Amino acid sequence: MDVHRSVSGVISQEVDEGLLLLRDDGQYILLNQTAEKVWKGLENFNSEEELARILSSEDGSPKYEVCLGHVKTLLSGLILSGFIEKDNDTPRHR
Amino acid sequence: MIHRVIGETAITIEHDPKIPTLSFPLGESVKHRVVSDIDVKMGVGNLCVDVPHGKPVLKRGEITATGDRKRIIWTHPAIGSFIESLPMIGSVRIMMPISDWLRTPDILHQVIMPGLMFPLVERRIIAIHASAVIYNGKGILFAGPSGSGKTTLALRMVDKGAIFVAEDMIFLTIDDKVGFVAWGLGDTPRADKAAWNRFSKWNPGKKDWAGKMSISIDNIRHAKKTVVSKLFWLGKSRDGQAHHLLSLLSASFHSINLEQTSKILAKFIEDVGFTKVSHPDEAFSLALKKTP
Repeated sequence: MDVHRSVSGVISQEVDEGLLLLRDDGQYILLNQTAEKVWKGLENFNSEEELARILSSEDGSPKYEVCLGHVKTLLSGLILSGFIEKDNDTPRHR
Repeated sequence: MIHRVIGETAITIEHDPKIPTLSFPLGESVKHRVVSDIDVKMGVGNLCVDVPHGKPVLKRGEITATGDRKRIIWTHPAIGSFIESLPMIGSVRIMMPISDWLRTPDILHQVIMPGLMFPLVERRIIAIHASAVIYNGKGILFAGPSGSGKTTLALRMVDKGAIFVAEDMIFLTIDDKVGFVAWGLGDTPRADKAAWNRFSKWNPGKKDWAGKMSISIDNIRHAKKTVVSKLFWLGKSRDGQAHHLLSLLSASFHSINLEQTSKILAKFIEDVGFTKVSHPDEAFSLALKKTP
């Protein structure tokens, strides 16, 4: 199970539209409310599977398998844009 | 030795006795002895040092800074040399060739203040690229990129009876009682004829380091600070709080402390607002309108 963490220097700022992630080199990305839940889940060292479970547990959400696909796509995008990296060293909290 | 107060932060500027008397801006200064929060040591240096390893931490106009929190080198192509500062909390050391001290009318704006930004941001004081006036008792900021008309608009407002606060670099902080307070350094070389004339003695071309000409007028009424009621953004920006925040970040020294600066600016947008205009004339007419 892959776990991800934010790269050093990334800060987050809540705005009306969701969560704005800023890097100190001026790069930024805006997360909508669903992506914001994934970001907050990352802060708790949740794996992709756990993140998908969190999203799919909400009323009206797509099935787990669909959510897992969305989570993987989002995390790939965040890795490509340099906001997160894979973290397989940090001990799991549970 | 010079004492100044930026917001609630007392700054002592002490220069090396080898440096001849500098023509500092005239603005706010403290005559009596105060306990300083930040000591600025200005020395003479003409050494070629390696730029410290690291990505640029600040770029504003012609001035670029590289380094890390412990050691920053400021470079400016016009002086062909460097300014070294050690922006540690409570202490900033600025070194540059002695011949360059007199090449700008605006030593505080262009040399000393960038070096002071790190400790100021730690004290929740941020600086943005803007001009400020008081009109009908309300503080108005014009912010935007270089050349967007910030100083010109402020002076047009003065023609209509506004009181001038500052141009180019505006400091912002939150006062728990009154809200966002803005102020400048007290002297405004581009807008104040007397200040610009001092500079012209050394620079017949009358251009500062940023290559700007004076647009000064006589008899400006100055105010030291104002509570901000409105901000007009003179540059491009898309709609939405996220884009407004990014616009203001682009006009600030955010690289010094991105987290602190974005927090303060996000609160600023929430409390004061952000009015985007497509042309300076639009800002001018909106600023003149009476608001309740």
